[in-house]
Amino acid sequence: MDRNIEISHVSKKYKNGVTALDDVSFTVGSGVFGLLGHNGAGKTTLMKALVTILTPSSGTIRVCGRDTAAQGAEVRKRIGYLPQELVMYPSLSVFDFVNYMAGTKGIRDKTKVHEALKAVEMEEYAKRKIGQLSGGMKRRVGIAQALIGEPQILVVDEPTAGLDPEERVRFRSVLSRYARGGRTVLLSTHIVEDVHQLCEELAVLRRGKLFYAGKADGLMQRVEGKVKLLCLEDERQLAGLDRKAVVLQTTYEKDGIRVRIMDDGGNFAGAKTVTATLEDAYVYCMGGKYYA
Amino acid sequence: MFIVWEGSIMRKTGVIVRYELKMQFGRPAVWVVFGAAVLLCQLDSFPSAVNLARLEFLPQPAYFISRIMSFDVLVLLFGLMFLLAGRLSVDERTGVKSLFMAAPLKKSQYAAGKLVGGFFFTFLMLCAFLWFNMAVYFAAAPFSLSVSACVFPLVKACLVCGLPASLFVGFVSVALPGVMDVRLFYMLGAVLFGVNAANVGSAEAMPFYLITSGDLVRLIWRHPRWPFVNWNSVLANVFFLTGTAAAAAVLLLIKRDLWRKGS
Ligand SMILES: Nc1ncnc2c1ncn2[C@@H]1O[C@H](COP(=O)(O)OP(=O)(O)O)[C@@H](O)[C@H]1O
Ligand SMILES: [Mg+2]
Repeated sequence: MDRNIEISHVSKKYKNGVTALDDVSFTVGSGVFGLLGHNGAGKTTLMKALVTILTPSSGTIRVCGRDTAAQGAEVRKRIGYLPQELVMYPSLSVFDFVNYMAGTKGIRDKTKVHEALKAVEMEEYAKRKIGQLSGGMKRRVGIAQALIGEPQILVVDEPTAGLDPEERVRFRSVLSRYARGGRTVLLSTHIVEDVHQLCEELAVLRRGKLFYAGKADGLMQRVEGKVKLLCLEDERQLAGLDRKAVVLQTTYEKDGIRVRIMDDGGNFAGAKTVTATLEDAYVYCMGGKYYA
Repeated sequence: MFIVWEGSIMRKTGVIVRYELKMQFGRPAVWVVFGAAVLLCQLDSFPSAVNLARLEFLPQPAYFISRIMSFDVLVLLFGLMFLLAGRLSVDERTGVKSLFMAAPLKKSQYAAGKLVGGFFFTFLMLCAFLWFNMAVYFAAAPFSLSVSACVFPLVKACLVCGLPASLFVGFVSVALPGVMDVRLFYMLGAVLFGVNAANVGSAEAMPFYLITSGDLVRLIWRHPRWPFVNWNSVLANVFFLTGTAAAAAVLLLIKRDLWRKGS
């Protein structure tokens, strides 16, 4: 089995008492793997542990068979990382910045820098100062520095957040192209659509706990036959609903409110069952419409 | 095998040094400080009739260089100290620190790159300052000067006074804001430079803590009436500058949360 990343029983408690990860275990194969979760779910914490810049309170992570705690140097040779908040040096040119980061990885071949810029379609802006780039272009430079040296594992933390739809599509194609040939791209996001388009496999974190890990299809099976449609008369009925079922979608119409729910507990035996969609599965997975 | 490994360590440090220099030289504030110090220097020591009448030894290139070393260079270095104080925090602020830590890069390589970058930058600025002002002096002097009479004291000033002073300012300004509150650092810096500026040359042995006007500068030029060199004081001066620089570097290296924890 080619499981490039093996995470077992990882917990992280910060000094301020926040438990960001709570006994998380799953494995990641080749291809694009989605890490889904709301803000504060622990995605960034898990990724930092994976790229060895943060030590978990307990548990182990193996990357390409190497332990992140004991063989950190070996792990770092095999990963590229795009942090969630990367401002970079505004006064450096695009080429200089990527060349600098390449240098810290021991890569001195300038053609590699140009290749990386080409892969993210930034070669024509190589001489432009980073301070003069749009948000989407900066993100592309961030990806370029991560994939220089062609690491086996690419870890990208919310690369599509705040991008316009066109940039998002471009990003997805760059990542899926990179993931071919046995490489792994671990992508965190809170945008369901990213995962939907890109990932065969995914994991969902909810408040530090692993909620689901596995094939995207597996999620469908969880919701199949449990999605129901209710018609409510007013807001008051809606208010109490999310305690009994996971609300997936609400539509306000003239004669009332139509609500799609995921009836996990079987509280709505009489309601009409409808065909589940992938969207239903993801929204359920993320904790429903009212989950924060 | 070992040599290859060593070579790559030096190379990664070298990459950081190179880009530290590139970023620093690209900052407009650096050139504002440089320009202000040049202006001050020219107002005080340009070989004009007024200045020549005011300063008895100004026709001697060695005197000229020791004069600007003890005061104008101090102004330059004081400015550079502020500009270097953010060289570690900039990596935190811009998120680039995470990239360094996720890369196959050691804490020592990172710290060395930043420190040596600060030192080279300071030294190059100081040399540029001395050479530029000496060139103006040479071109404008209303008396004849040989090139060697100018170059010899200039080289001596760069090596004898410039090296230890740059090491001190470069290392201390990069490292200390990483291990103490930056406002406290600015206060300490202001006090030290203030004390330095207040110390005018005298015949007595100079305090060891002077950055550019200590007894080291007497090696470039001495007043004919007090031509002695107090070697103990010179050595104390050198040890203070280099020792403080080394201590600052050690403090930075033993700071635990500078780098990723473990491995
Ligand atoms: N350095 C830190 N110190 C203390 N708490 C933190 C730190 N970083 C993150 N947290 C907390 O840990 C939890 C998970 O955060 P994070 O991993 O950033 O989640 P995500 O990336 O999914 O939004 C949050 O509650 C956050 O407030
Ligand atoms: Mg995050």
